[in-house]
Amino acid sequence: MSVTRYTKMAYDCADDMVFGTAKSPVAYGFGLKIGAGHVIPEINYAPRPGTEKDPEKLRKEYVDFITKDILDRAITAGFPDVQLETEWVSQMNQAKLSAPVVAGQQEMCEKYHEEYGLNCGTRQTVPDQREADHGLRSGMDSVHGYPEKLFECCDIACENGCNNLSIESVGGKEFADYAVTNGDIVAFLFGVGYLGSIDMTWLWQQMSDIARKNKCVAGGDTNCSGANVSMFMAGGMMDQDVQRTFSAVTRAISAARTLCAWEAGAIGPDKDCGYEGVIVKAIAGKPTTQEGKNCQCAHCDLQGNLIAQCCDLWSNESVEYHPEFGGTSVQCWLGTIGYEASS
Amino acid sequence: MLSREGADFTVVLRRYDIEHQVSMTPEEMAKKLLPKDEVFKKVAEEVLYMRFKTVGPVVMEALKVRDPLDVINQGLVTGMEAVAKLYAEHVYFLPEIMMAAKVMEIGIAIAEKQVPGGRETKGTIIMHAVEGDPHDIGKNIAAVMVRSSGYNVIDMGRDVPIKDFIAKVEEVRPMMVSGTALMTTTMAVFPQEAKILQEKGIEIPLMGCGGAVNREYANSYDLGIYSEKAPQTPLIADKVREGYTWKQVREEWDSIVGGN
Repeated sequence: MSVTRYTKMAYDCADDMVFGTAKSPVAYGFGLKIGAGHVIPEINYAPRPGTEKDPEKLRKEYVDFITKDILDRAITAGFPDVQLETEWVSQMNQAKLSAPVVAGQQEMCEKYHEEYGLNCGTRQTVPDQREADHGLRSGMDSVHGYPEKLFECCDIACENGCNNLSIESVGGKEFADYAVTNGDIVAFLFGVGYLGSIDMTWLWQQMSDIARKNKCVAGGDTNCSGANVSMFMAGGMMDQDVQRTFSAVTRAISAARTLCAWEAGAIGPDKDCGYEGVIVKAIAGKPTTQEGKNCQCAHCDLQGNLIAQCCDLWSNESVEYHPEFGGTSVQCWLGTIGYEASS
Repeated sequence: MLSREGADFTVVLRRYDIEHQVSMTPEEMAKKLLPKDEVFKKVAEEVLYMRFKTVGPVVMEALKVRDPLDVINQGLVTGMEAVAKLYAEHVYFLPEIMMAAKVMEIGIAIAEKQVPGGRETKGTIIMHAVEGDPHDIGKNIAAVMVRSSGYNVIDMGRDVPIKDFIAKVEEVRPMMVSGTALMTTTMAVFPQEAKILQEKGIEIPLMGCGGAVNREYANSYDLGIYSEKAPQTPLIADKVREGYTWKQVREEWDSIVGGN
């Protein structure tokens, strides 16, 4: 896949990029159109610990429980659209665990689309399990599940019914960790902004090829491993792990890296935890997923509220599946983000 | 674009951080916190102002006229205590603590060579990110803080197989062990490790930390104690060093960690 570098902004007015409108909307799944004029909720979830040990248990958890609960709640609440995001647990790098989940979610979405007309689909977020200190050369799979294993996961996802292929890649993390804990912005700029961008371009050229071959959408990526660590550590008003201004600058730097996914062939929407998404949307005009005030099940961050209005998908980040008074956790949080999206 | 004219944001947002900021500069605070002895003060300032490049020469000069243990305790450690106070007053942040601790360790490594018999540490603690978990940033921060509090830390790194961890504990017999798990799928290792340690008759506190762990979970298995954040770890370690069992740490956890 060729690389096209952006040299100018897609927007000259912020008003044009708000509330579910993108210059280049994307259609996929069963009737989903992202960035076509209204915000769509994206519900993100984690299976209960222990379910990852057995393929049938895991499939049941993700498909019969989580996916069904979500789609049922969408119908109950009258939401016209919903996107599901499955962030693969590390064990899902084995096809016997991941393939049934992806296929099962696809079947369930198709069923609800046909029966109710619910517009729906899945984002499959494959894991980046590299450990940089073991080396990143070809053939290092035997040591740490990278790089070949990562692309195998993309194949598994796309071949079994993934609609949007995404990842939270960790290129540059070894520099980001050092930079954030030592307050070294130059290290962050070099490791994430420069080296991370090179890594991102390499990775996404291949991910885009895999997605295109399988008629899936190559969605996007984030700098979760760098800028989000920085944001979490900056924390709230009284936290002192990282200075908030430092964290803000790391977020701006991370946009350069995240943009590379779209330059290398991905078409969006990118990932929810990419708070830099508003910057990359302003440059590229592609739809972005955001999170903030409605992701309290995962974390509390003031930054997300500043940019909510620019999103095309609105996410809860992640919630472990469990019962609540109002239904299961995925149902309750879908309700929250769905109503927020509609307003 | 909507106009913000006339909007009063204070009704929905309060900057508690700005309200609590201390108006004194680090230099003004240092005047109150640093030693009066000029030699020790100069050493302490190297730590306080995180001077990687000059701490070595300054310590070497101090060692010509002062006892090495005094250079460590009244110079380097006092500087670190001043850093801790600045952090408590919301002037310094964690990166300053990390860098100051590293400067202190550079100075200690030079000074302790001149201590006859070597410098005694308070005790040994084994730290690790549990099997299956590659996330170690919190552990790395805690390791620096625990070392700078005077403990010998054996950092086993990340994704440490249970059998390797147990073997190390049997070999070293530390006063305490600490583990971190960021994911709910990996935190289940803690009770497994605790069970094996108990079967081997090793009844030391097993500290559970990391994003997936909460106090209730850490207290749900024998040997388990909790640390919510890195600055709490040395405080808990001090109590274990005094002889506190894992049960006593649990009972008095709130008073041990205080407002940290």
